[in-house]
Amino acid sequence: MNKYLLLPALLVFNLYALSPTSVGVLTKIIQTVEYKAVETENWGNAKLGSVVYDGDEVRTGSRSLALLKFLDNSLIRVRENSIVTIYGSKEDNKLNKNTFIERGRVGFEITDQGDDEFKFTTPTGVASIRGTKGFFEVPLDGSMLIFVKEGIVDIESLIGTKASGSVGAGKFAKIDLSGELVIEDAGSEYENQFQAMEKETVKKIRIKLNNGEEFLLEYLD
Amino acid sequence: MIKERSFPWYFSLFITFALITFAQPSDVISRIEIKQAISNQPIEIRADLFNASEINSVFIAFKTFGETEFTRREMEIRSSAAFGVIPAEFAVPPSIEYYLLISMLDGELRTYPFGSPDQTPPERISISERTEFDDGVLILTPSPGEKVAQDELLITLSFINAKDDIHIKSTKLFLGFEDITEYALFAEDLIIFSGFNYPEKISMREQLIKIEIYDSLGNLKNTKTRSYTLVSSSYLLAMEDQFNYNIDLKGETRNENFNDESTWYNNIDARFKGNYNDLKVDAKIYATSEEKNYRQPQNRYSAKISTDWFDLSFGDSYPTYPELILSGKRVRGFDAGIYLGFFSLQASYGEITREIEGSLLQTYPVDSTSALLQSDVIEIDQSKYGQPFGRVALGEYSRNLLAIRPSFNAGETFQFGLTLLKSGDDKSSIEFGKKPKENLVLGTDLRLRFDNSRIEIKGEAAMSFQNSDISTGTLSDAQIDTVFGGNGPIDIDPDIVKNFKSIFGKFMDINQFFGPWNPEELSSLAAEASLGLNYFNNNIRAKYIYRGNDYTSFGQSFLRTDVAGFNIVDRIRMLNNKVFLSLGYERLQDNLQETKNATTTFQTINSSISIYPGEGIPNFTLGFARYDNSNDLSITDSTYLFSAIDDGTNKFYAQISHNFIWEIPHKANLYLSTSKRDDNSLRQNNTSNFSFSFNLRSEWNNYFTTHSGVTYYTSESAALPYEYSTVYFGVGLLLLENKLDLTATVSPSFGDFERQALDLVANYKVIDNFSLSLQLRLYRIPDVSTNSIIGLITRYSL
Repeated sequence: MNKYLLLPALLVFNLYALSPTSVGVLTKIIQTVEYKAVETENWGNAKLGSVVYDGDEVRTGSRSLALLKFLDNSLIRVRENSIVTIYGSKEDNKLNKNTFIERGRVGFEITDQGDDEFKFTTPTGVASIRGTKGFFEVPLDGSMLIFVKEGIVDIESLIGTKASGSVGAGKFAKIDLSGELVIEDAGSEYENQFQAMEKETVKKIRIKLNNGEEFLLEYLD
Repeated sequence: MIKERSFPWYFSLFITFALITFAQPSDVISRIEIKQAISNQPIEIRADLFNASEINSVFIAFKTFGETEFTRREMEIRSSAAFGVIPAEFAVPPSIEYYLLISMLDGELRTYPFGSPDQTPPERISISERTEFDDGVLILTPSPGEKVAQDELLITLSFINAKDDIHIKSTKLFLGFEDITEYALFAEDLIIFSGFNYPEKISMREQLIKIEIYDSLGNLKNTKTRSYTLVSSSYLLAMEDQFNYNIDLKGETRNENFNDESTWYNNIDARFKGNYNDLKVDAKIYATSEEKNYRQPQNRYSAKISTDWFDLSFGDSYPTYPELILSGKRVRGFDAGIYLGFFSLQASYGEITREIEGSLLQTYPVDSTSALLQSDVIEIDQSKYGQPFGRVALGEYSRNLLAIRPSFNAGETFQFGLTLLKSGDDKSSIEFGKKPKENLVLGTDLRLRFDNSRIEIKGEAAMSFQNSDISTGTLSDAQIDTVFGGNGPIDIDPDIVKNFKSIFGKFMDINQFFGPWNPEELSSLAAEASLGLNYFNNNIRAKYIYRGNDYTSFGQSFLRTDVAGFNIVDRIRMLNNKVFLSLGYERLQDNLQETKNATTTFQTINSSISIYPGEGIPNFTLGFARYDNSNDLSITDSTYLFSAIDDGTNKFYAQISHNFIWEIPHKANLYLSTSKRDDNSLRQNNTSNFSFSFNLRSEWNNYFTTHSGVTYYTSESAALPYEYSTVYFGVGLLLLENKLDLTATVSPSFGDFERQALDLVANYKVIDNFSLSLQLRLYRIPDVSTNSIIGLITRYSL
């Protein structure tokens, strides 16, 4: 008798254990943004308000942008031609987050993390963030660049010498394919790139066909 | 739009309400209103004036916990009130003290509270660390005030940091009064509402979202609101590429009846704000019938354009330079800045005092020696007035100011600046004036921050030179040889004077009234250095200050001089930011250049503990301060009756505030303060005072609120024992579909300060962007007079 009672309870428990952790929401989508849930193989068009779960991937096309808000109100801007995977694990009320940037450019505005953890990982390095602004860039060769606008970021190379350091406001760091870490003062060029990164200006073209049909083409300025 | 009243609204109102002071006895200030007092946010203060036409200017003086020195900022007089802002960097828990300095038209200087800060304790504002997000629920989107495209409406709430007793699935979501919960998606710690899923058409206008948060027992725990504006996609697109602007116009006509004298006032206030991409334009004009040529300007006008890397303003501005040199001073002219990252340049030029012509009262012949010794007798144009000297009502010279500050920056880590300030009176601006002056200040400042700004080192130094009478101009070398040195009346080497002339003669007149001649003795130096450390929940700041007795900057009228010493303050956060302990000690001494017959030591010990235990339990603040002032002159020797100092003051205060629901939501606030000063000198100027106030605000429903309270104040001193109490009761009503907002308050005072006050305000929104406001205030002073203010205000926005 007891085992019959236990069965549905176990089923509920297993379903709960299997349900992935929600990490954030896509709050803005411009042009081509695709989304792949962790348990699927296929990419589909992302929709405004899609919940992003642990392990889900987001990729953007040309002149496209995805804006992802995490549950703690942190924000990342996935700029054009980028691919990121979002990871999150929950312990009590803490949400530890890790964004893997496979390629492209990602801006970040991370709220004060308290005891939580917020990491960015790239093929060559990992950065631990507590509450700051800036952007990452991962070019096609897999090297990593970070510019810090506010606050401080601890950074570590995952290959080679596994060098580590802290990147303060107004500085940029680069980890190349050999794992070498360079931290330098950022010039106005990076400031300008950061400002451009924050912009979400959209151009829209209304196209009217001969048959009277209309559609709107929207792309990132 | 229906105006809803929810918890954050109550909270903000409560803060406003809690900080409304029904004035201490004053014939100048009728009421003080403080909009909010939250850590690191500017604190806006409004002081209602009994009779604005008698007031020349109003300054607010304030200091943070542990500081002895007050910082001053000029308030802007508009209509029948003075408006001021305490900058965000001064809004530091646990509290800030302030008083008002009121300069009357007849030259008299008054303070509010009366006798503050020496005889009466200044007012105290508790600074709250708390925010509206106590329950941990976050509204991720939309952002406050955001313009959202109709096809992109997304309301998202995060419960990741919500308190354990909050039941997510019981949450209710409202759009205005409409319950939209059934259209929201509940996904673990997220609630998402998308405009796509809502079957009704949502109007394109300003909207209010309301969120009701419940516990697992179904009790309402909190209510949050967020306003945003829904617009069409094409509008949003157009906005990004076009010049956007808004205009606010306000006109007021007001009659004031004081002591049977009736006066009409009229004023208009126009504000324009616009932006095109990164370019912002900001302009305002305030014109009042109070603008008179016999007082300093009451009209205000300014226009400013700015981008991320430069700004330029014309008209009235309050430029901010290093505190020792120029701060809180109105400058009518130009203010400009260029910000290139590593290098910034700021420059300001304009008039800080407008000329006010004096008048000739009586003329004197050259042989009227007794008259010529009087301070208000000056040389006049004999060909015009028949005599060479005249007794005059002295006028004020026009005074201009130029300030320049280049600075070098490296992000948040490093900033180094150099400042030059030159200011002087225009001798030709008036006919009946005396001793026009000039001032030159050279300064430098440095700021270093390390370890994510947890370590901050700041330093600032300035040296001033002043000429206290430039009416005779610069002396020639021959005149210098005559006036200075062994042959002249002033025993200073003429070569030193000539040296000064060669260096400073380009900037100011050099004559016998120039000083200091010996800057190496640091009499005109002002400097301060501080170290701040923010570790292990301790925020420690140690500061050293030095102010020579001759230091003068025309850009900073109220700096305390002839004082040096240090202070150290520690603010400690404990128990997950539920307890804040603040401790401070300061020791200052005067007589730096031995210009007094004794050196006085000023010591202050400050302590305070604030406890925010959490929901359902009142918040407490307890504070104690001890002030000791003494010099080494004998307190028993009558020779030193007026100069011997030996006094000590103990001050205690306590504040309890509690938000609770008893049938309906209430906000209660209790404040107690007592101080006792023991003067051991022969003057025996002992004083003591006690004050008590209690406020209660009750929200009966969305349309009806009441507020009530009582204040009691008593002080004892040899000169003036004083006691009074005030009770007040007020109601707030929303009528006619929330278009009519009525408030009425009665507040009679008893005791040594007898007065009955009635305030009635009616705001009527005719259409969305046009409203009328009628204000009636009656003040009856038994057996003396009944005074009134009646005003009508129209507001229009475009």
